Amino acid sequence: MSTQLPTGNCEPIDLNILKGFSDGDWEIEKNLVAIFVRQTDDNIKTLYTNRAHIGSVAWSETAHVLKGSSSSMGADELARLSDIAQKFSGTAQEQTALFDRINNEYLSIKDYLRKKDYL
Amino acid sequence: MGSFTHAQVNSYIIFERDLGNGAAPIFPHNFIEMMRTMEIIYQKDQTELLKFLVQAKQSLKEWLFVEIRLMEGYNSSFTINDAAKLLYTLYKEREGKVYICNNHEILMLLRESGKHVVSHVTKTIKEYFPEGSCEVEVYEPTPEGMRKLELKFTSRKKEDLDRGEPIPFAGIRNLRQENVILVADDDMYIRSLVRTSINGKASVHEVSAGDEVLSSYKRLVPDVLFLDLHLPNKDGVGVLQEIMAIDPKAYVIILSSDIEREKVSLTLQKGAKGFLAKPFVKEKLQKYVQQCPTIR
Repeated sequence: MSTQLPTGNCEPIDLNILKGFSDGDWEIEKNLVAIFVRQTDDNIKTLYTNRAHIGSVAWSETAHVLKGSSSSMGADELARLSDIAQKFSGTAQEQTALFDRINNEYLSIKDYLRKKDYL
Repeated sequence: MGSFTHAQVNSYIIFERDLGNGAAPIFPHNFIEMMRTMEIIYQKDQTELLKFLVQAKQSLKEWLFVEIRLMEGYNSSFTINDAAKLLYTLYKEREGKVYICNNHEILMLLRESGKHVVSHVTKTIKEYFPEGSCEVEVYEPTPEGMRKLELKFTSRKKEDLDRGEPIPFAGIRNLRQENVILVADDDMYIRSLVRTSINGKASVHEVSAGDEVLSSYKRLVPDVLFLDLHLPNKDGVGVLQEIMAIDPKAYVIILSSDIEREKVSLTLQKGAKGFLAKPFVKEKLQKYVQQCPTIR
């Protein structure tokens, strides 16, 4: 799996979305982040397993879940890539490349969350 | 007794004590303490219970005993619990009442005239459990000076719920004390956001698969159902149709990232009361909950 970092300048998550649910309660935020990361780790594993399987139901359904949770987390780029993955109809090579982009984006999100002491 | 061919029969037996110069009650007029006392007695022996009733009766003045007893063979606590809650709701504000209940029986004491209570209880039970029927039988006063009235109530067994027979959704929601919210979404993070947004103001239950929603809905009778459209095993629109078929007044809010106009229109047309697009904000979700007519 690639560990390349994305080249974008923006922060990978808009934490205001999370804070909108917590009313500033740090424990609630940490708890929500932990749930997001636990679930997304699993989702990334599923996408990785199915990255070369064109037409995989597991791939598209997992991408759908990832789209919903990442957009609700304020991770817009990850949500955008997940949306592409859900509707993907290219080659196995292209799908694998898409997975790499998703994974890189997620790694940058985790990095950012660590820097902010959420992880 | 009347003839009941389909469902189980519960007996509601009401004892009306004669007026007299009875002493002060020997036990505290406190529901919880009373319930504990009765539970201990129940555990010991049924004879002890009867002794207790006689003792209690002799010590009370102008009280009405209401005992609700399940017939032999009845194996569900669904109706008896709901009936207990109903009676509690009806009379909790009135002076001098005590309720005692476990999963099998209810005893209610009221400073009321018996016949009025009987007609009131009968009428209310019919109102809340329209699928049941209720008959009243009046007996001569007992040697202890109590008048015995028997209410025979036909209700449904819990297994009937699984056979798709009507469920008294409105009655159940009215009876219970807490608000109940069901979240059907395969995304654990979204379910957590809903739970966080509710912030303890309701009992929140979660399901993650489409084929679990209907059975959970029947069991929990939620005030609000937040329903994702994209669920594993069964499509959310199909689930919505099933829910609306059994509970036309269901308060279902669609929670989805599929925000195409046609999809939104379709779900609203099928009976959904609102549409919450992902990502959503807490305030909008809370507003939907507040607008639900059965949320207290």
